[in-house]
Amino acid sequence: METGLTVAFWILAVGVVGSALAVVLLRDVFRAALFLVLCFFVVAGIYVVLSADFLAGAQVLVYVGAVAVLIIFAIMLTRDARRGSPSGRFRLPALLVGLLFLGAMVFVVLATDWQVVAGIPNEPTTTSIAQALFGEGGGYILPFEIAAALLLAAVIGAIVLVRDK
Amino acid sequence: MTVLQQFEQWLLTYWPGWAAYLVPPLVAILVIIVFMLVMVMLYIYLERRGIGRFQVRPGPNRAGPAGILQPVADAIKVLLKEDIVPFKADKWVHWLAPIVVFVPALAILAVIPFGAGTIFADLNIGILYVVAISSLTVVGLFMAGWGSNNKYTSIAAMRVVAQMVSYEIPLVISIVGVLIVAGSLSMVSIVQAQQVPFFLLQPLGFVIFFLSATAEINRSPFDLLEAESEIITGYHIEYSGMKFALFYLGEYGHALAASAIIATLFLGGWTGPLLPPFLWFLVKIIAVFVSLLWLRATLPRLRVDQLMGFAWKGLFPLSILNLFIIGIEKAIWPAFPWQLMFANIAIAALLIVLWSSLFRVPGEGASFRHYGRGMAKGMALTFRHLFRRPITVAYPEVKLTPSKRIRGNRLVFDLERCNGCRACVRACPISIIEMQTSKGEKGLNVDSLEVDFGRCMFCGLCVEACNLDALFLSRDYELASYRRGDLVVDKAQFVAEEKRPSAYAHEDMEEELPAQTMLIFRGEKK
Repeated sequence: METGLTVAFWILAVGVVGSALAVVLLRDVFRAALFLVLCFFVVAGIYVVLSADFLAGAQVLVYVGAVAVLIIFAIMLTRDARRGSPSGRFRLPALLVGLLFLGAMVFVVLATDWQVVAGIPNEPTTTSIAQALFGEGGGYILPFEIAAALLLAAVIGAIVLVRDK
Repeated sequence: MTVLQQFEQWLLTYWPGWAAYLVPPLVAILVIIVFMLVMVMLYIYLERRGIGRFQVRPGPNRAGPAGILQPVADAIKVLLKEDIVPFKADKWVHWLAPIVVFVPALAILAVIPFGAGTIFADLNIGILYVVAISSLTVVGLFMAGWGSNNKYTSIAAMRVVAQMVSYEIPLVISIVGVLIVAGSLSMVSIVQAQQVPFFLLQPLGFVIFFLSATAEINRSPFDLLEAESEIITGYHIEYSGMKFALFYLGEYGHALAASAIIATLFLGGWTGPLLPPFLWFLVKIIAVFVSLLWLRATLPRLRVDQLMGFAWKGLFPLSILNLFIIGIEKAIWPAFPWQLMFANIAIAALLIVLWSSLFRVPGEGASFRHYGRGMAKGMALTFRHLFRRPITVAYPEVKLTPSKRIRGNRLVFDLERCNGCRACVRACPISIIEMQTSKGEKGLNVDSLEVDFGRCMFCGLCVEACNLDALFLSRDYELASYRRGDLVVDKAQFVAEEKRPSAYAHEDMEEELPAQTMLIFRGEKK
């Protein structure tokens, strides 16, 4: 079991990094978006390996089912998307910002004192997530509701922006 | 303990641990694939024959007894076709798309319970997994549309996203109603929670889920992405051979998965009296599929704006209302007693009537008459069609008797009466009758006669010109030969052949001729 999990983790990890690299390096925007879908999906696989099944389901539902589809839709509505991404004048600044961000991420990962759980958590995670989010003591109902109101405001704002005058 | 775990335990006594760990899932995958293929064959057969019956025709009945081998014939035909990839298509995307469409259907079947322990994987997040995996299909369809590099497929791809994303929302919200009552995401627990099947306890949620699922699997009346009259066949125009077969399989696979989910969530899954669980489940999913067929046979395809309007103005508010009602009921009666069913059915009926009158027929204003009662009447009509005799006849074996005055495509000469006056020859506007006569004892003898039926237009002027009743049109309506020359008929053939004159221009003969076959069912009211 343990070796199986390790093997699965390494396959998935290589998949994540490979597809993420493909997203950045590919010229064809549509293929890059497809690799982004693959990347999201493989990340969900890593969640499964970590026994976070609810998180994996939500990851696929939100990122693959909604975010990625929105990105693909945006590509479809873009003119000349088939020509690929031409190199713009923001190439160097983008590289710089990217490197800075990478550095920050690496620093955070290395500097954080990660807590390692000894065993494999086997209990269904759905209930505990619900308890943590909406439980009576220390729940997050208010932020949750605020997020919902924020999203609603964003939707209404978008409709107002595109409506015929 | 599930059947799969029992299998693993049993294997452990004979095989080493890693083999016993690996083999049962592989066997289960094989079983699921075989189950899916067999069910898809059954569905294709049901669909083709069933739609036939709904349309008062027999449906394909040639391949095997009662056409049972039709899916096999279809499959062989599809597989023998040349695999074509369009020039300038995105080859990788074009190649991958059918797989991305097909695999989710298979993956969904893994969490469908066929019995209390007969399930591949009883996930804690069962239904969430189903919803998540089925959202992958959008990507596949989109890949097909984009990768084919064709304007119709691109339009279909746009429609896919708009439709699937819109209908996913009421779909998921109606599932939440089920989850509130069942108190679990696991498919097995959802089935076990249904003392009374949820389609009675939550009729509104059931209707919403059923319609959204129909839209999600792109079946009629929501099959806009393959609307033949608008965009040919949508995203799979550029597919042929094995890839098209995968799309076809994926389409029916999704129909199978959707009917299995509906059966699990709302119809009580494998539970039921008398029959074994697996059979009950089978009966339920086939019943769901047949009602999908019924919808397809009755309702016309929606327009794009109607489709989006139906999702956002019809199903979406209804699903939120449904969630509110179920939530309030659950808060007041945590045990959710079965008596609530009566209240919920009444609420559902009221809301559906109200909502159907929100949609207007242009120029008329009124609406429930069309979208509520009208649809119900249509469904009743197609249901009655099931019990009618098919109008279509199996042509070469069964032939219809034509009208008594038919202008059939053959001339019948009664040469004993003919006096060789050549009136018919002169009457023919395209001069296809040739007749040579010589002087005989009583008058003129017909020495030779030739008619070129390859050019005859069956105007009947020759028959009207003959004043001795020696020439008739025949009652035959078949005219075919491998060579044009065979269509030129001479005197000897006219004498030899069986004479079947029609009453055209000879009304006095009508009495003797057999009556025309009526295609309309006799017992039908006007």
